[in-house]
Amino acid sequence: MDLATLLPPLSHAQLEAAQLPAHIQQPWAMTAPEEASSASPTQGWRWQPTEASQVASLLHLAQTHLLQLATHPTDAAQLSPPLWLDLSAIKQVLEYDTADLIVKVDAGMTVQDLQTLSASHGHQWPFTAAADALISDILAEERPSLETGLRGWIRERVLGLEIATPDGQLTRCGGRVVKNVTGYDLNKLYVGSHHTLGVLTKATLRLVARPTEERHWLLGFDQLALAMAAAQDLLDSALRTQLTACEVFSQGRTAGIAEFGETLAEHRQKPWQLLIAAGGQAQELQRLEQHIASRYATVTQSGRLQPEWARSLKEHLSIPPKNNLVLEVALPTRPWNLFENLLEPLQFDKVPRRIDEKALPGFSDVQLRPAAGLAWVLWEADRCPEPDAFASLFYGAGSLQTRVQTLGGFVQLLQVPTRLHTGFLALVESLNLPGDPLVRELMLRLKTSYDPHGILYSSRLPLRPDTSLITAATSSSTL
Amino acid sequence: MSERAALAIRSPSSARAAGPAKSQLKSSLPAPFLKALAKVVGRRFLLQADEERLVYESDACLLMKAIPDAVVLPNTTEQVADVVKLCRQHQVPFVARGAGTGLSGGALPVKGGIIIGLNRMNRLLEIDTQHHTALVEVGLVNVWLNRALAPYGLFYAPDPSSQSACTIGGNVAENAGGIHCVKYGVTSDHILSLEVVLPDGQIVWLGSHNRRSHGLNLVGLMVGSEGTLGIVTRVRVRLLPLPQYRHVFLAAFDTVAQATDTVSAIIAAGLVPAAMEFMDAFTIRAVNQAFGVGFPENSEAVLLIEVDGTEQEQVREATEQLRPILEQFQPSQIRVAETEADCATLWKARKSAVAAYGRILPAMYVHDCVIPRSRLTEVLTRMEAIRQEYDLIIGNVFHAGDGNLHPNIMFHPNDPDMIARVLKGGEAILQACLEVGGTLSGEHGIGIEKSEFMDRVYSPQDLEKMKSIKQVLDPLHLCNPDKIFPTPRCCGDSGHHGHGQIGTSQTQNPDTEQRTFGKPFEPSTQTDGEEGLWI
Repeated sequence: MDLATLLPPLSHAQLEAAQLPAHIQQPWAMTAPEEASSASPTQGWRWQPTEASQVASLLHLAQTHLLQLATHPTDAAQLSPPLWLDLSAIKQVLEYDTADLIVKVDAGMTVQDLQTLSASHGHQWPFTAAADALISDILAEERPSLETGLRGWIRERVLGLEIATPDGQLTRCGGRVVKNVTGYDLNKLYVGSHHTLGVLTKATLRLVARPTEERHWLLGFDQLALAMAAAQDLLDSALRTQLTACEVFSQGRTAGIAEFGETLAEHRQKPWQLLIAAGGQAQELQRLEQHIASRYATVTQSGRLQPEWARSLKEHLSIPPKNNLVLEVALPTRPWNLFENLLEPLQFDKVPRRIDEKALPGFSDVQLRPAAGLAWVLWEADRCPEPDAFASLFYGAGSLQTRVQTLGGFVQLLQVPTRLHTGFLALVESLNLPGDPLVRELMLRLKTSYDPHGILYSSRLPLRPDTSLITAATSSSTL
Repeated sequence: MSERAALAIRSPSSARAAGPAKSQLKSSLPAPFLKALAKVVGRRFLLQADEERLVYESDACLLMKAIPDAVVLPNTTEQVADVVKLCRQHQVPFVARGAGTGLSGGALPVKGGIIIGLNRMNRLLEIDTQHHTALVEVGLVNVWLNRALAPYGLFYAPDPSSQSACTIGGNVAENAGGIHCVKYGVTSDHILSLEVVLPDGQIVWLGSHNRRSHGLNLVGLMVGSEGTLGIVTRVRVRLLPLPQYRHVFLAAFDTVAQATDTVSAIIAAGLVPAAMEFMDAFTIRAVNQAFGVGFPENSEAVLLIEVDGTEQEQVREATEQLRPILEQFQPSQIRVAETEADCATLWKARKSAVAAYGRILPAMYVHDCVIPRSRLTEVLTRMEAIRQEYDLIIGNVFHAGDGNLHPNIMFHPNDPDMIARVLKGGEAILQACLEVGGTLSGEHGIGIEKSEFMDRVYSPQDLEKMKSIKQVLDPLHLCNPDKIFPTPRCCGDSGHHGHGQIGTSQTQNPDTEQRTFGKPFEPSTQTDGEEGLWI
């Protein structure tokens, strides 16, 4: 196979000049744009290295030739050429310490594989994610899950990382112990960095023991306020320690999934629902169930979910529908009812029509995670016809951002449907980076230090290097 | 600690190795700079006299000393920023300092320059009972915050043993842990946002009221950076509901292995006690002799394990889960303190260990290293061999639940041979920890104490990546310089050589061979562990 066709737009000569190791010239699985089906999310040129050192070499190659690349195919669609780095073939288990509940894995491993592995040892990764999600992406996005807040934050479970940077190096930070102040805590910087400083290639993670028993309940409510009050009651109780999820969501959020059985039909018909998940000893869960039954007898007949339904529901709720625009609101975790007062600006049909002649319908769904102070506001893409959606969203999101900031929080775009992608990039930039110019500048300076030519692209964290800093940075003395 | 770090650290204008000779203490700061500093903070809060500056010559580890050329005591963030701008203008290194309870020399002005003492900035600005947060200035003492929070049924979780003296700012700089961090996490888990004076004097707020990062996680980067990336001046901390009930188990064992295996079993079972502390036989006897605490005298190890909760039933259930695991390893004795008074007595006994050591020898080198929890037995066995090899006196009292060891190596400050053995033995212990996958520090930081060992943990590329962060935020290397990273050893090494340098070799500075310490440690005054050193 002609290598030049595998790695466009690089020629043989360029590859040779880059002095890539021999293994990089293997014909990797790859999909050329013209070969991909139009429905496939994997359009573009895909580089699929099989080990971490190849990632470093490829990043260096990209930097040498000033090729931008993304770690997600939808991001790659914004690039020319559309180039994405697929880490899914780097998926070895490097170490499993059963006594310390620690696992070191290649970052291309899927969450499902990690869960299967850890379950065989009586352990678990305490955060639900899409089964095919890669560890690399979960960490790079610090993607919130249903358990976030109640079982900590992902960054607290990361003990060590390896990262490939555009200068072609693989560097490590952290270690494999649960407490570590040896040098700067770069784990914290890299987790949530969206691969914009470097690509995460290995991770040492701290697992938890699998609970003896897990139970799930689904309760329906007529009003958001009632559902939030129920969540608040649980989170304020001593039973909180057993909770692993406490999620409030609008009815439409689960419309696409199968029926959970007769007994739950009553709850699912309600406009607002509360998913409660808990793990622990049987007696502890019994007390929790009694507590729920005693407080919500009027709404619960038998709200307990079968394990397989619960698993399905949790995974469904962990992933926003792909065709939805998702705005994430981060607020103080208390009081829980803050969210209720904030949703009005997003009811676009109530927005003053000073921008558009046409108003948009309100959001499609809402999902609230009070233990983490997070909420997702979702719009189906079909309900966002451009350009009306664009202008209205700017207005609504900007208004919401202002209100949220006064409370100490912030708003960011978590997901933009591919169809709307280009038009929303400016909005992403205005929302997903902090408003304070000095904070932005600090981030840009770090980006410039790691990736001076801006080859690592993420639409979610649109940091572009400050080219004015490059000369200064490279000419100043090292430590 | 490396021999190099242990040498009396010399600042260019204020060397102190053989006693505080006035000529050696003379400050060389330019007069216009000093005048400008006085204008910012007020003459009263600019300390230049020898006896005033001597107060700041060391932290709680007496093996390292460096006298600042001056000390300023600002009262506001704006004053801190103005001081930093002046330092930048005059190319003077600056080091922020809290209560001086650090144990790694992190707040020592090893390149000379000034110390910015933040103790006056000790206001508790806000307790937000609705959002469960508090806004504090960095000079606030940790325990003062918790005393203020108690009436609201809230607490700030990080509780380093020095909490009666250490400041929130110091906790942030070192990412402090504490006895209860096995359950509640370390400082970085409880910081929501920070006000920082950057090394160029600009003031910035990082973070929000939510733990979700907005862009890059600069709060996470700043916490634990040992004051080398900027000076934190205000902090919004996360508060938790105060547990209303607790039980403390005392489990005594005939062998160390029984105790450490118990720790592993508790971790493996998925139980998360609020605290899990280990004391070895030496410590048990030292504490008993000093304070008549009544720990089982013939035991080789004692575990103190706390379970807590907001409801009595919750604590009772945790107690029931814990007891069979403990019994599985056949402790010679199990006591359960169920009343608040009994629990407090046990913890006071644990905290009195350091004071008890003070009765044995007047000085102590408090080590801090972390190992995988399953390797405790192996490393403690290795440590005993090291103790014998170097003829050391070591007491072990540490955070077993985190695998965070604190070997306390006692010495006489006027015995150079003993100090040499302490340093070599300490290094051997560190190496033993690293060989089982451990790391240099769990909560004390690297400072200058362990900077020369960083290359045993990280590759040159790893270290360069960390240094690049420093380069980005502090390109002039004035903000707490020469900390964390190994300093160049020869003229061929790259390095920034500015206002001064860290202590050089013994051959270059023969006077540093004689380690003479000021006032000897006086154990008779150490009646309470909270007033001595902390671990």
